[in-house]
Amino acid sequence: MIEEIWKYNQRAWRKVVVATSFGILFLALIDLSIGSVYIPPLEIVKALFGNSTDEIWNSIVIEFRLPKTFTAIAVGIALSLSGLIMQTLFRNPLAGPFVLGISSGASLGVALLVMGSIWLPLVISGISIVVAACLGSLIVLAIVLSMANRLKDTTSLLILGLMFGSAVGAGVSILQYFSNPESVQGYLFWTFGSLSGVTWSELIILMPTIFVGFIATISISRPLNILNLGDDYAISSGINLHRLRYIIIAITSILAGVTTAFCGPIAFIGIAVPHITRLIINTSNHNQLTVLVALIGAGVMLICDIIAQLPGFAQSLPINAVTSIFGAPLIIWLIIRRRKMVAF
Amino acid sequence: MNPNSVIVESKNLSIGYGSKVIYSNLNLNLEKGEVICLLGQNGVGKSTLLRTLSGLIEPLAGEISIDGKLLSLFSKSELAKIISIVTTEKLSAAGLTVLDILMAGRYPHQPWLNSPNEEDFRSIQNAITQTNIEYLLDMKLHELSDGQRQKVMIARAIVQDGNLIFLDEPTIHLDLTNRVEVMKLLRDIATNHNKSLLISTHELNLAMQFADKLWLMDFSAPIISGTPEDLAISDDLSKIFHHQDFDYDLITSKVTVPGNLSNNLQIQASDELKFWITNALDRIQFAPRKKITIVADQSENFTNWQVTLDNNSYTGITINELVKLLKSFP
Repeated sequence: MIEEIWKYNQRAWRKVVVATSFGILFLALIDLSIGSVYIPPLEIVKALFGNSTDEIWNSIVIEFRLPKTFTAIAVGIALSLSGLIMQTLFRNPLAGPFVLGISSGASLGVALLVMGSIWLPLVISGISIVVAACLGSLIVLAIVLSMANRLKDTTSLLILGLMFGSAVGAGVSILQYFSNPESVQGYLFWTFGSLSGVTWSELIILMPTIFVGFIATISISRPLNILNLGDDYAISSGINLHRLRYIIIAITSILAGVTTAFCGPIAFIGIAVPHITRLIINTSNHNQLTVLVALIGAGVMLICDIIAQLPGFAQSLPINAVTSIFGAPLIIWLIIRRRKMVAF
Repeated sequence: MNPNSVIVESKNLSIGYGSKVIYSNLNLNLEKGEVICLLGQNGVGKSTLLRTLSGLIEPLAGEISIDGKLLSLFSKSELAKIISIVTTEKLSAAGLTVLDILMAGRYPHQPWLNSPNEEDFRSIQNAITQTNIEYLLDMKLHELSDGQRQKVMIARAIVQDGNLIFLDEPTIHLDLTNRVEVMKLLRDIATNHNKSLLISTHELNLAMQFADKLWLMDFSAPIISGTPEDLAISDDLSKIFHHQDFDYDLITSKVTVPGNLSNNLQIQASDELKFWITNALDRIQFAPRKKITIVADQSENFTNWQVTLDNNSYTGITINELVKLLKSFP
């Protein structure tokens, strides 16, 4: 009997996964077809296989649009997963990489690298930016975590995150003051957040890293469920609590750090997507949540990118503006509905 | 006593947090298939003892052994297969279903990344049959009542499949029916499955009825261990439940405020009626100055009573009326 119920639930979950995957494929095709140059949908499919009649269309799709779509998917997966595991780690429905200042930490890392290169012989490359961002987010996350143990309520933790954001912002301003205009400008563009700046050679770093983070998150799904029950239950179930915390911190820093490094700080995806997912499948079982959070994160990011490219305009909106416009009201709604938030 | 039947043993154990010693020199034994109720006032250290014995916090001194092996030599995952706990911790996992929680209880037995196997399903089936919660399987934790949730957490402890279950106030927040049901369930688990249970509780009556042994904890006194009956006869129990203003009657489990019913009162009635009339008179602290006689008799659903005072007599049919009458006397 138990086995039947379990298998039934598994089948139901698989159906949602398959449906969501098709949804993402569909969104990806829309994302590919929208841009400043109109390309007929059929030609886009042809271009993907390298045999469009128009050489320019071919190169637009392969060199510009496809990397951007892949980036959107990868970033959506990374930020949503890091949001999910942070909400579980902090047992706090409002936790997320941006809210807790982890993205700010990554920014500081990048700022130090970009603007510090005037005085120090630092090499600004894809890899070094990634390392700087990951280190920055790791440091902030470690500090927040060490303080979070003393703060039990949601609000204090959020204020802590805000304070970190401001402090880091101040640090960056000071850096800017002492830097030359070129590197300041380079840094500012980076903070707008962009999916289109990522090239194929950078995607080769971005995608495998996020894939590793994704697999790592899936592999700790079961301990995450028990962590939800509380520390005592986790320890008495044989979980090494300290090690699990370090693993979660490491995964989050890498996922949030690497995306922030390439695309700038992108707000609200990490905190909002786990809630959207819970609204869709109404469970907090991580065995089922992790994969769906990743998929829905990819979908939401694609939608944001589609909105950012307002059809008919040559310019696209900064991606951060779009995610904030949709993310902020969602969080406000969650706070107002606070009573329901225990169900996470 | 057969030494092989001892499963948990502590020697010169000191418990507490940090530098604060709550209890020291504890020499305790827990045997196979035994239910022990841990009694004592709030703050006396019941939870600390439970947490120390279950390996959640380190002892300050002394040693604990399980099946003859030192607790500190067990790895956390080995320990998880022996000891399971039920805490009073507020659960944040409200979105998990009962089945999810039971599946999580199988964690110590599941190889990394494997799907649940036959044994997992069988174990969960057994636990839900024992605890009678089959109808709850698809419910979310936050949809359950306190009593249902407690049974689910007990089922989770059973599923973990150790020989020891430590429960911290499992009947707290429950109504009377659920308290009895939970205690009876715990008794059955120990008897039918040869598991040892250590339960901290404030339910003296239920402990007297269901526990094989009581451990009595009191501030600045050693823990007293023994069967409920021995402890009652030796007066150790009344020492724990002492209070300067009232007594606790272990047999009727009634709190009595001594010295109110004077010799002036005479009640003629069946034992049951006499008990209830006394109960009511105790409550209003009735202390007559003149001789008063109450004669009562039960007929169908009514209590026919007659009160005689100074050659006047009054009658009525409910205790309510009797109480009102007696209150009107000077």
